[in-house]
Amino acid sequence: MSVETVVPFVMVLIAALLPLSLLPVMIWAERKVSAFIQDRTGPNRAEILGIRLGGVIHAIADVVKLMSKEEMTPARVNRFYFVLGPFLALFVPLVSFAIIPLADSLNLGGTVIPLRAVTLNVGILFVLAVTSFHVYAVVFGAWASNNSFTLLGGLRSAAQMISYELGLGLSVVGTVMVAQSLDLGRIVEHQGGTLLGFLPAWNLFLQPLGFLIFLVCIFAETNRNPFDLTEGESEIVGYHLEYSSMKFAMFFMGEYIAIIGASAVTATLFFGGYQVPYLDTDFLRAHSTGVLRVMLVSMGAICFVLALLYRRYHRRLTALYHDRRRNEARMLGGMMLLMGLAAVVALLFVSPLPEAGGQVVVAAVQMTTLLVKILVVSFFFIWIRWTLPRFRYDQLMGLGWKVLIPLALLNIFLTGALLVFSGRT
Amino acid sequence: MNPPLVTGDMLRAAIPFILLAAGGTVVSLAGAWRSKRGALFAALFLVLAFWKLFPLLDLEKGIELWDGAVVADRMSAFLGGMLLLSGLFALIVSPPVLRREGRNRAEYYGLILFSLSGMVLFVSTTNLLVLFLALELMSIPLYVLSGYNRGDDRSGEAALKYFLLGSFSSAILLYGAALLFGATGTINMAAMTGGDPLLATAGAFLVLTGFLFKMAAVPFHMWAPDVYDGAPTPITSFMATSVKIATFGALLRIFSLAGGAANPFAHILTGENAAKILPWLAVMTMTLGNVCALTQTNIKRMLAYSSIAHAGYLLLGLIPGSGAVDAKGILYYLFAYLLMTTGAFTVVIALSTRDKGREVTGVERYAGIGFRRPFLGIAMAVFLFSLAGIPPTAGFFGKYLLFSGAVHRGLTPLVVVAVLNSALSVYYYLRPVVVFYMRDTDTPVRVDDALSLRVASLAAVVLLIWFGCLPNIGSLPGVPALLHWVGSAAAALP
Amino acid sequence: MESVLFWILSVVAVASAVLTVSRSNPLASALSLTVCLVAVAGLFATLSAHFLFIIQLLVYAGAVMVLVIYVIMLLNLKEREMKALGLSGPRVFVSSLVAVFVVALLARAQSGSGGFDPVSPVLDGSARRVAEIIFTSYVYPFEVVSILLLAAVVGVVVLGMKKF
Repeated sequence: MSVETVVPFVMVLIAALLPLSLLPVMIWAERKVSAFIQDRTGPNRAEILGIRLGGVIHAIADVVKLMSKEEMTPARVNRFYFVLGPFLALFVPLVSFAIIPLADSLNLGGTVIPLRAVTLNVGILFVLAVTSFHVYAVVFGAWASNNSFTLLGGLRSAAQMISYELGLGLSVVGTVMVAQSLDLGRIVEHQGGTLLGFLPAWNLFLQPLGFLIFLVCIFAETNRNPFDLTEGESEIVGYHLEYSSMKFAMFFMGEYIAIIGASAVTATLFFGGYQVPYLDTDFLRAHSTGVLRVMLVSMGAICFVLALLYRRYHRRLTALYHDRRRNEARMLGGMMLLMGLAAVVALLFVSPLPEAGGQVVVAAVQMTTLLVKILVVSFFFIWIRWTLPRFRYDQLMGLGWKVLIPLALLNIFLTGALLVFSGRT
Repeated sequence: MNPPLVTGDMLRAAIPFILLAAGGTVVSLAGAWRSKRGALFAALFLVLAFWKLFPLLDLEKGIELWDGAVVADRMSAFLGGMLLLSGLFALIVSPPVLRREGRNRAEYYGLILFSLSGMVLFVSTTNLLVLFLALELMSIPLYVLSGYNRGDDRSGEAALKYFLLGSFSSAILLYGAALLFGATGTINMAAMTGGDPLLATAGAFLVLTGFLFKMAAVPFHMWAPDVYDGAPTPITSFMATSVKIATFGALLRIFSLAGGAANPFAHILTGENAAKILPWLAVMTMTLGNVCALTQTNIKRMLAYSSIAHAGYLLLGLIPGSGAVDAKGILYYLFAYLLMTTGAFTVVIALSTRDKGREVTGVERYAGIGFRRPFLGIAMAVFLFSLAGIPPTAGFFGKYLLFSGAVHRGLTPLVVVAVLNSALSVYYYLRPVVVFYMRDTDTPVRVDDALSLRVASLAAVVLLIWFGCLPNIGSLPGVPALLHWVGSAAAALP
Repeated sequence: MESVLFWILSVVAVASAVLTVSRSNPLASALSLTVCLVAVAGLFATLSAHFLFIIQLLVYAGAVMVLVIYVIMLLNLKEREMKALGLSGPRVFVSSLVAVFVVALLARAQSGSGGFDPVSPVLDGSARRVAEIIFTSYVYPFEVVSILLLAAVVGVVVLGMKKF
């Protein structure tokens, strides 16, 4: 088995597992951030042997709850479509990760290995296509429930998604024009380097209007607040009314995977993707040993700081409660200490890396960068949800058709004019 | 160095289409400001297109661009002129009707212009792809326009029927085009050679089917009476004339494609197989149209069946027999048909009223009109005489040209049938005239005295008689001039 | 590899196309049609027409079929009304006759052009190439398409207007 055959499989695995493993993080973040914004503590009760991880354990509790709930299937529904809806809702968003370049391509002695699951020269359209398939989940789920209210809810959100797909598609045209390619890899490559010497050359700065439209549309596409009419349970009935237990959970998880996917696409299109600001791939590769050292040093430092913090936390717990909550501080503090020591030991043994090793290290750094960007954008999703009120349906449609689409067209026109006048075509 | 993107030739050849399409856009846009002057704007663009089309009538050599996507020659110019004339009539007679029903919207005229742009394209292309697009471009606005009277069930029924059947026929045409492309590997009809004969035959006949539907030839005629009856009358008039002109114009081009026997498309349609089918189609079309028209009491339905019958006469000109296709006869007949049908419908518009949202167009209501409204009576009589083929109108002269041409091509039996049919048609064409002059009632009939309706019918009467029997008078063109134009247009075909 | 893919996709496409006409539930028909369109998109991909592949997914499977399903859902047919939509004896007979005829026709034409090879040569189906063709040799039909769409939109607006 050569590297060229192994890497794609690894990439498919990463593309499938990354969103799934980010899923509990997202759900946790949603609850914690909302608590923070509303000045509450948020979930912190569920524990295993005193370990609460600041509420992450609640995710497990949620899963157990959802799985053990009674599974209700309404009378006289078409089972096939009834199951197809949540199934599509969960798995369609997963696919969009396949096209995201996770790091710059490896270049091993002339053979170029792209670090993404699917290499398609029309990548950006693939993203749009996947987004448009998400509608089927809503439509089938709503129709199969055999309930007029869910049907109406489904029609509403299907109309919403179709309408905003147009704005979405048009808003990325500017990005494509700047990069002169539909390939996501090329679009990310184009975002390396700097603008005017101090700004990273991200499309965020090259395409501010496009970014704004894209952001609004992607919110509507993922059915997130302020466009979450589909599930505005207080005033309008949503399409998954009749779903319970795991089938509901699939819709629920699908929504978060869609958010993670949307964040990844946003990060890739507008935040430079895997590009580390100011440091391009060539620079990183040329200094791969240094990069590894810096990584180990910073990792060690973070671990030690965390270990110290846990020690202090342990003291406080001992003074206040003196119960098994201390287990958490003990265990995690110890783990941090061990990891910090491991980093120091590794630092001592670092020797100049071979070419391939250096590239792998750089790829790891770039993947981490992308991950950070994804998390930041996801945080933004959550932030918006707990800050803005919901749109009314006619306002939503009006915004999509009468504001965003014309603006997106204007953006295309402006971008084209700028490209022509700056002679970059 | 790349070739220039736009050349003068391109602009010259495509300008009528561009003007009409731009006109459609501008006029529709004017609708956003609730403009009541849609007809005027549309007429402006139409006249502009006319003006730009005129020089093309004298083209020595045709211009062919983009692999046959646009062919501008005297043929397409003449057909385009007729189409624009038909559109102009529609623009003139529509406002009174729309105004009295309170739906005089600019979009209506925009759609007419869009449809016209499709028709102009339809008659000036030898590219299968553009042919299909033009077919859709002319049909889709017509589907909408036939359903324009939304309060009227029959209008909706007309739109739905036309749309469904029209879509099927378009799909059939498209499938035929795909088969032709598969057989010959090109979408330029003029450049087709070789290919699997069976595949090409299937393709050619499927394409022909699409055309037969559009011209309402038997057995693809069922939609016509309902659609013509349900659609608003100005649209019926526009449809009945312009679609026929466009279809026969495009068919003329296809039947006389370059390449002769080497070109499978043209060869199949003018070859032996078609020679067995086309005469039957023609006979069936004219007979069925005339026989069914006999029993109609609603004048719109009667004219609908009469338009089917006229499609039958026109098909006669397409049968090559021992010679080539009779382009001259068809063009002249189309011109006469345009004037007499539009004129007849204009009178129908002037006389029609609405009862509970429904348009009433029964013949019996016209009793005594001939004496109360002499002008309308005479005009209608002229149009109906012309439709029946009675001299000295253009309708007679057109039939004469068409039939004598067929006799020359050795189609005497067909001509006998056609003449018998014309004789039959006199019965139902004269019935309204009888009602006009021989009967009288006391019930008052409301008549629309709008100036534009009078102008339109007067123009149609004058032109019908003028081009039916008058020679060139001074610089005014008469029958010989028209024959000259028709001849030179026909000569432009390869 | 390519020929295996070709056969799988073709079988899926044909089977789902048959299902499209044979199911009496219109939603099932629409779903089958979607599967068929996706399979055909896959065939485009094996022909290395990547742009066409993705556009087929985006436009047909992603947008047009959603609208079709949308309309079906709005109509919300009853079981009883669906019965009439299924395949009956004469319909099966006529449609299979037509299908056999078309297949025979195409097979005949194919045999004339030197055999059948599911694996095509690699062509340039990139967006750039497609754009070059569309905006040079097919620019006129392309513009006609835009006028056609505009006319259709105006028409739909006219039909859909609340009041005149």
